[in-house]
Amino acid sequence: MIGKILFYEIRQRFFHWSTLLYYLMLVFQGIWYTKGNFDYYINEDLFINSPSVFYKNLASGGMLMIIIVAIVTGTALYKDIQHKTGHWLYTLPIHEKHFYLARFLSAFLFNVLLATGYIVGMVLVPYSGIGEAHQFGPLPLGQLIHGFIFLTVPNLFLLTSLFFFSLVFSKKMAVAYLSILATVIAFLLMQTTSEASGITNFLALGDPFGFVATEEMNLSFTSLERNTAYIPLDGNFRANRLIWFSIAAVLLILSVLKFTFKDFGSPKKSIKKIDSKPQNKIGFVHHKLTQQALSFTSFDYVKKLWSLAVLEFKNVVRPASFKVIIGVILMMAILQNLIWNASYYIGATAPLTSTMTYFRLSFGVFIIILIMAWSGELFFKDKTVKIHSITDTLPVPVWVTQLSRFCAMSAVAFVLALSFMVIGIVIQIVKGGAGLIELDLYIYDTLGYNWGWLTYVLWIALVFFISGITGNRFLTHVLSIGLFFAMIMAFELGLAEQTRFAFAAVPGLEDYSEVSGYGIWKTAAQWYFLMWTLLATVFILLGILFWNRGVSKKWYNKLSIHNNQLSWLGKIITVLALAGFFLLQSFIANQTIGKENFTLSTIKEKNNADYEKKYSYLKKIQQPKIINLDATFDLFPLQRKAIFSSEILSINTTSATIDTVYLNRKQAVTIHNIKFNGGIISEVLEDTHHDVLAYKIPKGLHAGDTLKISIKAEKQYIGLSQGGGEPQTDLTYNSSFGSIFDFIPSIGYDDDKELVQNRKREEQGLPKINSRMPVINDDLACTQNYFDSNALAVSGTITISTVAGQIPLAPGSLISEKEENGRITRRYTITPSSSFNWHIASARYLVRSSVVDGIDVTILSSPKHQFNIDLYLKAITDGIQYVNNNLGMYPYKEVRLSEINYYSDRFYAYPNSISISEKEGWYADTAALKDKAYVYHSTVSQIIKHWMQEQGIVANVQGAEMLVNAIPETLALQVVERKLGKQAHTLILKKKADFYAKEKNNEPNQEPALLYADGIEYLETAKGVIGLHMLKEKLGNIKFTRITKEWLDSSKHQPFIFKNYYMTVLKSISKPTRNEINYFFEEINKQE
Amino acid sequence: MKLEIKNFSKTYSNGVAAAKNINLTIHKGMFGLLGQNGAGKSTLMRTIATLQDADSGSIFFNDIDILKNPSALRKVLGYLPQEFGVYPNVSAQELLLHIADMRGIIKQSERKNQVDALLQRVNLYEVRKKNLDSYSGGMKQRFGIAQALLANPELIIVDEPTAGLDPMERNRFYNLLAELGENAVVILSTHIVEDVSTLCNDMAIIGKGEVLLTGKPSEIEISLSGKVWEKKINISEFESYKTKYKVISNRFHLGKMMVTVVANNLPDSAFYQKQPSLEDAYFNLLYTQE
Repeated sequence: MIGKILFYEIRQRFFHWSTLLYYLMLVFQGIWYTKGNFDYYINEDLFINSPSVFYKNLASGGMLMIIIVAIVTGTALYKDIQHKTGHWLYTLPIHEKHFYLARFLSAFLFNVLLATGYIVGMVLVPYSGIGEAHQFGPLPLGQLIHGFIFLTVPNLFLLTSLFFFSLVFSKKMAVAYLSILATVIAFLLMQTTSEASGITNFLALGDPFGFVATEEMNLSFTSLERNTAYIPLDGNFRANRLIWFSIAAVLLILSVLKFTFKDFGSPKKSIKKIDSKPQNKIGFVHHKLTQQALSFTSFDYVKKLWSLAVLEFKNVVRPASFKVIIGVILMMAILQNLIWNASYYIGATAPLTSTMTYFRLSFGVFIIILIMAWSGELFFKDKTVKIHSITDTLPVPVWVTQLSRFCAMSAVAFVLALSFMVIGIVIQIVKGGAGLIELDLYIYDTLGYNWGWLTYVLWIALVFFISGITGNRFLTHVLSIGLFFAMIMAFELGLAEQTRFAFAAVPGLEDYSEVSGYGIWKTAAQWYFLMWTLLATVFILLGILFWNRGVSKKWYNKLSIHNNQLSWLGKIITVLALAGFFLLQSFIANQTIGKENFTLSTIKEKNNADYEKKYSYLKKIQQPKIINLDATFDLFPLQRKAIFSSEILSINTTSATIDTVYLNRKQAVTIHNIKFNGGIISEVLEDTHHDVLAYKIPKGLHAGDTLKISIKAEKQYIGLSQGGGEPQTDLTYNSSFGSIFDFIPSIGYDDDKELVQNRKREEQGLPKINSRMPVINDDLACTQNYFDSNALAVSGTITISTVAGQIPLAPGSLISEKEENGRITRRYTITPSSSFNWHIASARYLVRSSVVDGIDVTILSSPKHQFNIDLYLKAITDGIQYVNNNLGMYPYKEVRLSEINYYSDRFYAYPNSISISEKEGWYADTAALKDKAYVYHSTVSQIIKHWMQEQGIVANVQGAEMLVNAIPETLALQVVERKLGKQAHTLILKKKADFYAKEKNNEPNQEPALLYADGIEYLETAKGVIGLHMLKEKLGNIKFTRITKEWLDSSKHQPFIFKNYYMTVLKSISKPTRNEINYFFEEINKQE
Repeated sequence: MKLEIKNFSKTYSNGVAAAKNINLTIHKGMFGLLGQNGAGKSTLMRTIATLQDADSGSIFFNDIDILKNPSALRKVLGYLPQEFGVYPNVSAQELLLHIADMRGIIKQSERKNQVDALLQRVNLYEVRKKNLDSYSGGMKQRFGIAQALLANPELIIVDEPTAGLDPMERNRFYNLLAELGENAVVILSTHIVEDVSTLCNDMAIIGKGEVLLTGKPSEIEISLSGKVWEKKINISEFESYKTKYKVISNRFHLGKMMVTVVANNLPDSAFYQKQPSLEDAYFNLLYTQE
């Protein structure tokens, strides 16, 4: 009997439409979670499809799988109550315990069957496009099956048993759903606690899904093992599995003992059937029906629309299932904002509004899918419950009934979005951030079109449209959710790049900066939203036009222009809205692509490759070197405009005559006037495609001759931006920050345009490169400055003005400041000559000033971010004192530390200036030592970089960033150890080791040996610092510092080359330990 | 006040001709529509109720062209379909108030009065605040009846309305319909011939998509006067009687089979003449059609 029931149940479910949908969702989750777990995994040479990643996927189960399990299991037993089949089924000659077991097994086995979709997704990962070929290893099928058997299957057994147990004992679906919810929350708590405070036996055993125990095993694996090993059935992992399997078995046994047809089939109190005939009454009592006034005016219909919407809203929110799902989502929002939030670059974050609203992005996919599913259900509600044969005959136009549902669903979405906002505010208050509440940002993010409520409304409109076209509930779900997934995948995989093709999306929705806000994307977003609103209007109107009233119609009947479900006015509006949509598409295309604010990556790569093919000969052509720059910049941030003039003084340092000067004009720059030594020369080349200009110098520029290039120009970004990749950060509304070369033309070959990823190079027909920087034996490069190959140390003055309220920043000492005509002007001087990595900025700042050892220290930060100013000041103070006491004098009398937006690099150290990204500590929660140490160390490092940069020019060859970044960071470790203690020092090194281990997996080419590091962050600032720290440990702090200083002093006559430094230090190392050092610096240690 | 159906035809995409050139004129009062399953009754009902398009023909209610202007008819229509569902989480009163609103009763007090009155009439008043998913089948049917009568419709279409009602409720419902029929066109579609004969002024019999017969029930009954004969036989004799006579129906009475035969003369001496009923006329018609 068990077999018969089991077979029947499985067969019934198997051929149901939802099975395919669930299966596909799990396949998608398999790919998606693999990418997610791989991205966050710190491992050496980890394959994307490594067993470690798969084990982690399987242990976490995934939100989709848990929801699907709840849905599938929910109906397995309860359907007999729900559909009243129990009334006759329970009278059949079936052994009730057998019946129960069969139903249990059918649900469990079906869950297992569906879960194979998750496995299929993982198997398909290498073909999904989420990584490059070299990131995948052989399919670990054995480990996948092993993990499935020991993680997925027992977890499904637990969830199914728990669900059945709760249902049998309570006879309430809500209780069963809550039991699943409680289990999931327990899992999440164990997982997050273990991540925050380390894995303990309690956490490893208490986690119902075995995730913590799995992670414990993974962490004990070597890199090789992570790519190959099976998790052994041992220790906490084995104990966890046994405990939770036993609990599941006990729950099952108890529920089997409890279940009887009589008990389970008896009505619950809550839905007790009503006595059909109240006492002393009989049917159809005579009661006079009076005549009523009927009215069918348009105004009445609008009123009906409202009353209907209210009714439909109530219908959606009343069922227990809705409340449970909402409860789960809101619980997730609370947990995310309270516990998990904002593990950005450095760790914990202050309770800022932007971190609270981030929930809408991290859970956005689930939320939108749910809203679409609910919408589909609501639009087809009359057909589902079969009341449409009554309601379709009512004298109410389709637009009233269907639009009321659209409004009701929009209201449901509003309540959901508003809940996120309320939760965020409450949690901000709980975390002591009441003063950080930004109501306008909450409204914009959670209620607006930035993946908030209005975005939900747009998706509801799409479902509305699809409902109208298909007239089929299932097809509506498949098409709408399928379209959503397809869109996400297309953008995730880079198949689509333009936001104008991503329905309901607006540019920059994931790119909020605490200092720049949504910046340039905010205006663009308004246009995009207007465009999507027009399309949504079309969707809604066509949804009304096509909605099938009564018996299903043939599709071509729906298309009839005489279809009167939509008035002629409505039809005209539809056409106008559609025309408006296409006009806006065209307008946006023009504003983004047409105005060169956006370029497809393939086109950009081709352009760069073409530039290299056409101009790489310039690499070997000598150009004059910049030695002085006097410039004036008038910034107009609100117009994203700068008017500037510059006098670039350069010198021919070669023995040959230079007859032609090549200049690279930057995007959006218009050069009004250019003079060479005061005279105007016609260009011999103007390549507008690559923005290359060439000028022939009359009589040439002989050895030692100087050339003054005077330029009057302006830069202005016009139009809109398409995506988050091009923030145009040098001229934005607030917190503009850009290199000097974002404005003035650079001289010679622009190697920034070179493609450095070999795969891309091959695609563009370029030869592969072995190094992203010139090699050490490149004689020409050895004479060039790392910061700019056509500059020496540069002196100069910069006069910079900006709008009142913002402070203009430039390198050098501040000479003067004045405010007039609503503008602030500052003048800076850079003397003596300094490294030419100059940047200018303009932002609203709160200024904190201090004096350290006679040096003026100014910290300029966002007025909102005053959390760690004391820590920054302490780091600068300690850094300056360290330099003064150990390295020589700190080179400047004045230093400014400024906060910049995160679109730029993380750290900049240039004359008298340090700029640190907002996400590198300005709003970090530095209560924990690791976070405090990180902020402190990174700031001290910048101070030491100042000293380092003033020691001389660094050669533009491999290893340059070891000198520019790694040595200062290594020296800064001494300060950390002295001031914050050994543990802080250890934590920083661990962070760097983790960073290296994680990031080296994303190396697109071949990882070079450290000695030949070619300017990639995970090498110099991570492995490089660790390597130099090893050297320091071998030599001792004092000796290491002394050798470093002596080498810099002795090598000043020519550009510094790291290899020379390394060889010098190596000589001081005793021979027995040299091998270890050699291996670390000169070998590529893929597996450790 | 009349409903006029002219040359109405409907063929489904699977080739089934559910209505073939139907012509009917239905006046105020109760009109019965008899027919077997699949005869085309529901197709006709749904089309009149604006739920379905016609392939050809026209249907007018007074001066309303139903096929071209369905929204006008919906303002005067009350329809109880053969099968319908209800929203699970809504009370009867709430849903009726909602439907009353949709039917154009704009004043809240009037809506409430009429809903309460109807709930009283269908005897659901005491349970009006209970969710509809807790209703029994009969109660749901009574709810369906109540909704069809909201806003005093001029055209009431009831498709198998008494399914699920006990005999007492059924009688009461028919009394109610009869009362309503004094001021409206009421179309009653049913399998129960007796209901039509006792309730309806006019009727039509439909078979295989065609109107087989129209008229007053009493006239149709009389048409067989003197031609209907009955006899008790053994079950084993049934096949030979079918071959020998025009047996339009058979039934059991006190354990014996009774056959009803239509013949101009006494078939044999054991037969006795029967007062023709509408049911006999209906069966005779079906026999003829076969």
